[in-house]
Amino acid sequence: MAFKPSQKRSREEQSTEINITPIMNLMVVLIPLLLSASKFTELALLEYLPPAEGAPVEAGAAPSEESGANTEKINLLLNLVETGIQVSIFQSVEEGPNFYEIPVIASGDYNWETLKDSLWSIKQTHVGEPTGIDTVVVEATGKSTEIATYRVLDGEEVSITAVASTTFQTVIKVMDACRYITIGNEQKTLFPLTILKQFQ
Amino acid sequence: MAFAPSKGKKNRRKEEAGLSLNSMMDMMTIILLFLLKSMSTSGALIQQSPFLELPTAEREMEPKKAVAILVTPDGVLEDMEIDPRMLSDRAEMDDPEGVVLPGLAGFLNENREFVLKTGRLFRGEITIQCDKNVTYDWLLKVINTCGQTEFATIDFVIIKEST
Repeated sequence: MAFKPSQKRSREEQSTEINITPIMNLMVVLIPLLLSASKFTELALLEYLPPAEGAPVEAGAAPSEESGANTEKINLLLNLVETGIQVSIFQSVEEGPNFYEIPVIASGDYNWETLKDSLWSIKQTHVGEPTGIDTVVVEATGKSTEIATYRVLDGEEVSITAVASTTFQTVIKVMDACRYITIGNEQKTLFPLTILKQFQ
Repeated sequence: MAFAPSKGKKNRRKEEAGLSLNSMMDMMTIILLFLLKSMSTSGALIQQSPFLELPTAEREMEPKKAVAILVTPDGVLEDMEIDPRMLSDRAEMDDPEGVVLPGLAGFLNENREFVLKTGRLFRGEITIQCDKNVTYDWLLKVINTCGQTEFATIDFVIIKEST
């Protein structure tokens, strides 16, 4: 008589796969939650430091005349007018190399690229490379910041004036254009300290 | 007469048509990692106000918490999500004689005094959300008012341009 077959033989093989259904449930909850929380427009800040009344802009960094340091200024000024951007240095108002206008382009917008090139040319010709670095302690915050010094006092400063109807977007664009220029793969500092003034 | 079913078919075990979740798991994992990476914690410090359209800029700093105001085409408002208080209305902004905005100056003075009363260090920092269509004369008045009330560090909120 034959033996009865063992019951083990008929036992079904158990699945060895990992049960991923709970992980899937977790994912289905997490993804909509993160999608709703994420922001696709990134907000940031553009710092503007208005000059203190009656004080030099780079307070603490300004060398005294007694020390024999250079006190020359270039007084770079940009006037935003309807026809274009007027660039003036050394407070010049007569047309020439120290006062000229960059006309608006065909679309009616200001010519930002020419402005950047023009500012880079002024930086190279009249300001040059930094001669040193000064550490300035900001009184209000108590933080110390390093400021590059140049052969002129206002080597990183630009004053901006505009007609009353100029929009804030245009002001931000001109502040942006005055900060840096990319030459090749290198980013060069132009005039990052902007001062907004009344149009005269 | 019908044919007898083949033995192969008759004895074939029915296979379960289970849904394979592996590829979906892969996809979900990629999306989850992307979303976790793109989430920023600092971005939550500033929320764009629904009352204005912000300008765009290339260069920027990380957001920080400070006294905040909104400059909209209707005037200057306190930065509140719901029903913001009007600080300086159109009449005040358009006044050709006024260089300083009394409503805004009052609000900023209140803030400064509150900080000083509580014994904290007054840093003079202010965050301005300004509509991109606001004109230069309004902007100058706001900046002048901030300067007069000792808020010397002004941060404009902008939308970071993708470069």
